[in-house]
Amino acid sequence: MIQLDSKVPAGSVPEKWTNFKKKQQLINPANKRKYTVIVVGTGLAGASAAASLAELGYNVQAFCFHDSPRRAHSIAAQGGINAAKNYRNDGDSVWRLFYDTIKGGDFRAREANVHRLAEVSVNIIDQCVAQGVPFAREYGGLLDTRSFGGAQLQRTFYCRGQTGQQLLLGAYQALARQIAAGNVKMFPRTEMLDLVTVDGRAKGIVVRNLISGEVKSYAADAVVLATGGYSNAFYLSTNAIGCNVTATWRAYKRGAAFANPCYTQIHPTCIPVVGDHQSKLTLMSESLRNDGRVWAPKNKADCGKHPSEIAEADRDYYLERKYPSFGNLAPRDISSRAAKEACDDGRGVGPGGRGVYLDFGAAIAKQGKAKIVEKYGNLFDMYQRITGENGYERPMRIYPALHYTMGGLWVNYELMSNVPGLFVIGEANFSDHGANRLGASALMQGLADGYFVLPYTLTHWLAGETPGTLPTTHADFKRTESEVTDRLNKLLAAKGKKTAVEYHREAGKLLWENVGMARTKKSCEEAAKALRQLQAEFLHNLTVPGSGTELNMALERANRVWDFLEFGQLLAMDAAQRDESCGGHFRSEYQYPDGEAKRDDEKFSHVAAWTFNGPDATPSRNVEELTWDAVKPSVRSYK
Amino acid sequence: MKFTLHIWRQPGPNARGQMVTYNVDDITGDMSFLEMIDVLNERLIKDGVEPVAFDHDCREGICGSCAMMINGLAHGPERGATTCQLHMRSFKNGDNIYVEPWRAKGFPLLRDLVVDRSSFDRIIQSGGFVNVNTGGAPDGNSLPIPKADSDKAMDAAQCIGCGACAAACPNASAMLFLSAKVGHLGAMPQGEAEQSDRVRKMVATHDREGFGHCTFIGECEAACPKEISTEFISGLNRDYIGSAVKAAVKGEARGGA
Amino acid sequence: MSATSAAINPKGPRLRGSASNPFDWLNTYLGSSVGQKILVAITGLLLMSFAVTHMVGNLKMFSGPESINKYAYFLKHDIGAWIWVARAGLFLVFVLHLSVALSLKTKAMAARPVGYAYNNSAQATPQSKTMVQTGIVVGLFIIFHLLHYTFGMVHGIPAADGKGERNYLSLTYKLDDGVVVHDVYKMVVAGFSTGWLSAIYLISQMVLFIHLSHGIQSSLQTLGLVNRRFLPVARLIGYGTAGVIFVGNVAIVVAVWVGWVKM
Repeated sequence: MIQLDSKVPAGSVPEKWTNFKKKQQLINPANKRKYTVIVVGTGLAGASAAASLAELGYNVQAFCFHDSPRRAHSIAAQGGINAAKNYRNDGDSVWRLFYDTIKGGDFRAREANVHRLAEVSVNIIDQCVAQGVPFAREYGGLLDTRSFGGAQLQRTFYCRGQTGQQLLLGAYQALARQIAAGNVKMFPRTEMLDLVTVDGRAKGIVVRNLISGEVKSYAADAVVLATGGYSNAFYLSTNAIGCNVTATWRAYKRGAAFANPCYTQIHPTCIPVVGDHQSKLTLMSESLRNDGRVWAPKNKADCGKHPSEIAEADRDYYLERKYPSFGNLAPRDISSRAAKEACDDGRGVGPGGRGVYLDFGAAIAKQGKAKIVEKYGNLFDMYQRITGENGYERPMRIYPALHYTMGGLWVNYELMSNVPGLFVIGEANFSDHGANRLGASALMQGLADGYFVLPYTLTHWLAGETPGTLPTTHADFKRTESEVTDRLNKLLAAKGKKTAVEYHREAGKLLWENVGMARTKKSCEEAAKALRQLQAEFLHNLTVPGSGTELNMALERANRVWDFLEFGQLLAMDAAQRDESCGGHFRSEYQYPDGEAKRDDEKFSHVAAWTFNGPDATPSRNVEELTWDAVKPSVRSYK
Repeated sequence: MKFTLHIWRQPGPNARGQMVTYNVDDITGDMSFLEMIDVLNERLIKDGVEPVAFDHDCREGICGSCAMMINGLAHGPERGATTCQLHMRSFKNGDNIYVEPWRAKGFPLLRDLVVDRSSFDRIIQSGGFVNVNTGGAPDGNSLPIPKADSDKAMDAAQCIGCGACAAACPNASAMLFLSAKVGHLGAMPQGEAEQSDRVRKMVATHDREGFGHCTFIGECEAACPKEISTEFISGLNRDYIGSAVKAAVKGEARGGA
Repeated sequence: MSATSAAINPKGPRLRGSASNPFDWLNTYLGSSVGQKILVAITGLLLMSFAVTHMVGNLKMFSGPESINKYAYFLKHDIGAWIWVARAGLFLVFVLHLSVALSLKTKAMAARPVGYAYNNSAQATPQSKTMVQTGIVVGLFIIFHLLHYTFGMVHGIPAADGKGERNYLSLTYKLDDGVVVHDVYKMVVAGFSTGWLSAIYLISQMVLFIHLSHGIQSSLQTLGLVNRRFLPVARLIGYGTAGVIFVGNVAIVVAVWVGWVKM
C-alpha cells in the first residue's frame, strides 16, 4: 500500500484554489529556461499545456504519434464546452457548475479539483475567443450558448458541430506559435513507449520514431502525460483508431497509480454496429437529444416494421416516461442503460436488434425542417453517409457506445501522480469527472488543465527542484531503452497465425460483454481471467510482419494491443471490486427495484488507485478517501 | 462485393514504387473504404506480407489523417467526404479501383500511401495564429462580432488540414488550405490586426515548401471534404494586395519578420 | 525525416522598410506565387481590353473602306508618337504576361515531380487545365497576325498585271478628303478571301475564346474581386467578353467569305 496525499490546499472549497495561488512558489523568468518539460500528447490538454508552458519560458519538448499535433482525437468532440459565464441570466454560477459536475460524477470526484475546474471555466472561453476561435454567436454579436446533456442551464458554448476541432485548432495554433518562436521542440510521428524513472522520480521518456523505427530517450525535469483515455480497450468505441493506453500503462508499470479504471462512459447516441468488419463507432452529438425524441416499439412484433408504420400509441418514449423532468436529456449513463434495457427486452430495432429510434418528426413539424437543418445538418449528413438512410424522413437508429473514460492515472491536486515529476492532465488523469462525465465537460477539463492549472502547479513543483536534466546515457535510460527494444523484438519474433487486430477485437468483445454497460462481479472476474488467457496466448500465436527499423503500422498496433490486454485485466478487476453502482459503473447486483443505480457511500466513497507489483503479482488497491465539505452526496435522481 | 485494387506500394522514401494489384472479395456496401483496406491488410499480414501503410485515425472525417487518391480523385468520388467516410456502396461490384498517395513536392512520400504533411504545420507556424499568450484575455463578450463574420470565419475554420486540395490541384497548390486559415483569422477582429503580415509570411512559406500557384481551376474545392470555397483564395489575394500596398506605403512591416 | 519539424525559417521572409530598399518589397511581393499570379491577371486583363478595342476597331470593316481606312490613318498618323508608346506598352504587357505565366507553370510542374497513374478531374473545365497550351497558341497566332497584316510578309495580293504578287502594304486608298492612305480594307478582304488563312484565323479565334473563357474569370478571382455570390457573374463576364471578341472577329472573316464584305 502506498500513501496517496491529495495535497488539497487548506480553506473552504471555494477558497482552495485562491489559497493555492497565494502560497504558490514562483520561478524567476530567467531561470525558467533552465527547466525542460516533456509533454506527451498534443490534444486539448497537451497542446494547451505545451503552449502555455512555453509562453512562460520553459524549454518544452512535445511529442505526438500523429503526423501533426492537429490530429489528436480532441478534434472529434462535437457538442460544446461548458463555462459558468451566466451570459443567459438563467441562474448559472461557478457554484452551480461545480455542483452539477460533482453530482453528474455521482459523488466520486474530488471536490477541490472540481471547484477549481468550474472557477477557471470562465477564463477558457475568454482565452479561446482571444485566439480567434469562431464560437457560435447571436445576431447581436455576442456568444451563443445552448443546453447540453443533462444540464438545465444554457451554459454550453459551441462552434456548430465541431467545437472540439475549433478549440483544438486554437490550442494547436498557440502551439505552432511557440514552435516558430523556438520555445517548443515538436516531435510528430514519435510515440512514447516508456517512462524513465530514476530513484522513483520521472526523469524522461523513451520514444520510437515511427518513420525510422529508432528508439531513443529524452530527458526532462518533468514529464507531462496528456495521452487521453483508454476507451479502445473495448475495441469498438467512438475513439480514434490510434487512441491507446500505452503511455499511461507504461507509467503505471513504472510506479504510477492507476485510479478508477472501471469508470467508463458509454455514450447514448452513437450509430449502431452493422457487422464484424466495423473498425470504430461513430458518435452523433448528444445535442441531438435537445430536439430528438428517443423511443422503442412497445411491442416486439413491431421491431421489424418501418418506423412510420408503428402507431404513436405503440411507441414507448421510455426516457420521457421514466424521467419526466429531464426526459430525453437524461444523463448519459442513464440514457444508455435505458436503451440497453429496451434492447435486452427484445424491443431493439435495426441489425441484430441493437438500436432504438431517435425521432425528429415532432421537432420538424414544430420548428420546420429548415431550423433542424441549421442546427444539426452536418449530423444528419453524417448519419446518411454512414447508414445510407435519411434521418429527416425516418427516425435515426442509435445505440450506446464506449466514448470516454473517467478513470486514469491518479494525480494529486497539483495534477502530479504519485511518481514525483510525472504530471498527468486531461482525459489521461482521473481527477474531475468522478464516475461519470457530463456532456461538454471534457473539453473544459482538458483546457482547464492545460491553460490554467498546470502552468501554476508545475511551476510550484519545479520551484522546489534544481534544474538540469540527466544525460540520456545514464544507466536507467539505457536500461529502459533496452527493455523497450526487447519488447518490440518479442513482437517481431512472434510468427503465429493471428493478427493484433484479431486479438484486439476478441479482447474488446470480452470487455464489452462482461464489463460494459452492466457488469456483475462474476462477469468481471471471468473477463479478467479470459483476458489473462488471451494475453498468455498472444506472443505465441501473434504474427507481425516487417521489421522494427521502418514505418511499421502493424508493429505499432501489436504493441498497443499488448498493453490493452494487460490493462483490460486491471479494468475488470477494479470493476469486480467496486461493489456498488455509480455513474458509468453499473453493477447489476447493486440496483434499486426500479433499476436505478445503488451507490454505497459508506464503503466506496473513495478513489481506488492501483499500483503495480510485478508482472505476475496482483496489483495493490490503494484508497484515497473522498471528503465532503461543500456538498452532501445525495441519491442522483433525474426523475 | 468484389473489387480489383491497384495500390501504390513503395517501401520507403527513396525506394522504387509501383502499382500492385490485389483482389478483395466479401466486401459489403456498409464498409468504409478504409475498412475495405483493413480487410486486405489483415489478409496480407496473415500471408506474411507487409500491409499497405496508410494514415488514418478518427475515421469520422474530422482528424484529417486519411489521404488517398482514389481513381484520380482526392478522397474518392463522394463529395464533401474524407476517405474514411467513403463507403463501398459508392462503387459497383467488380470495379477496378486505383489507390495512390498524395503527390506533391510539399508532401514527400514516406511509405506506400503515407506522405509527410509537416509542410502544412510549417505554413501555420509562419503566421496561422493570433499572437496572444494564455491569460489576460478580455471577457469573451467584450467585443461583439457580427454573426455573419463569425459564420464566415467558421466556414473557413472547418479545414481539417488533410491536404486533398494540394493533392487534387493540377498545379499542386495548397492555396485553399492556406486561404482557409487566413480567411478564418481575417474574418475575426482578433485576427484582423495581424492579417497583412500573416498573408505575406504564410504565402512565402507556402511557396518555399514547394507548392504551386493557384489558377482557379477549382479541383481543390471539389476535393475538399469540408467543401471550403475558392472564394477564400480570392479573399487571400485581396488581403495580399492590401498587404503589399500597406508595406509600400508605410515602409516598415509591422512585427518585422 | 519528420522527427522534428525542421522549419528553416518558419516566419516567412524578412521585409525591411521599402523606403530604404524597394527591391525587398519587389522580391517579397512580386516574387511570390500570389504576387506573380496577380501580375498575370493584371496583364491578362490589359491584353483582354486591347483585344476588345482591337475587335471594335475591326468592326469598321462593315462600314466600308472609308471608315476603316480613316480609322487606321488616325491611329498611325494623328496620334503621332503615342502609337509607339502604346505599342511598347502593349509589347511589355505581352512579354510580362507570357514570361511570368510560363515561369509559374514551370514551378507548378516542379511542384508535382511524380504524377498520378490514374488521371481524373472532379469539376475542372478543360480550358482551365490548358491555359498554357492555349496561351502559347494565341501567342504564336499574334506573331503570325503581325507578320501577316502588319509586316505583310505572309501573303500578297495578285498584282494588277497578273505577274507575281503585290505586298499588302503597297495598297493605297484615297480618303474623301483626298489624303492617300494605306488600304487596310482591301488588305483584309484579300487576306480572308484565302481559304487557309481564314482557317488559321478561325481556329486561333476559337483558341483565344477558350483561353479567355477561363482567363477572365480566373483573373477577376485572382484580383480578389469575386466572392461566392458573384462567382456566376464573373463567369458570365468571362464567357461574355470572350464570346463578344470571338463573334466580332469571326464575323469579319465570315463576312468576307460569304461576300458581305468585298473588294
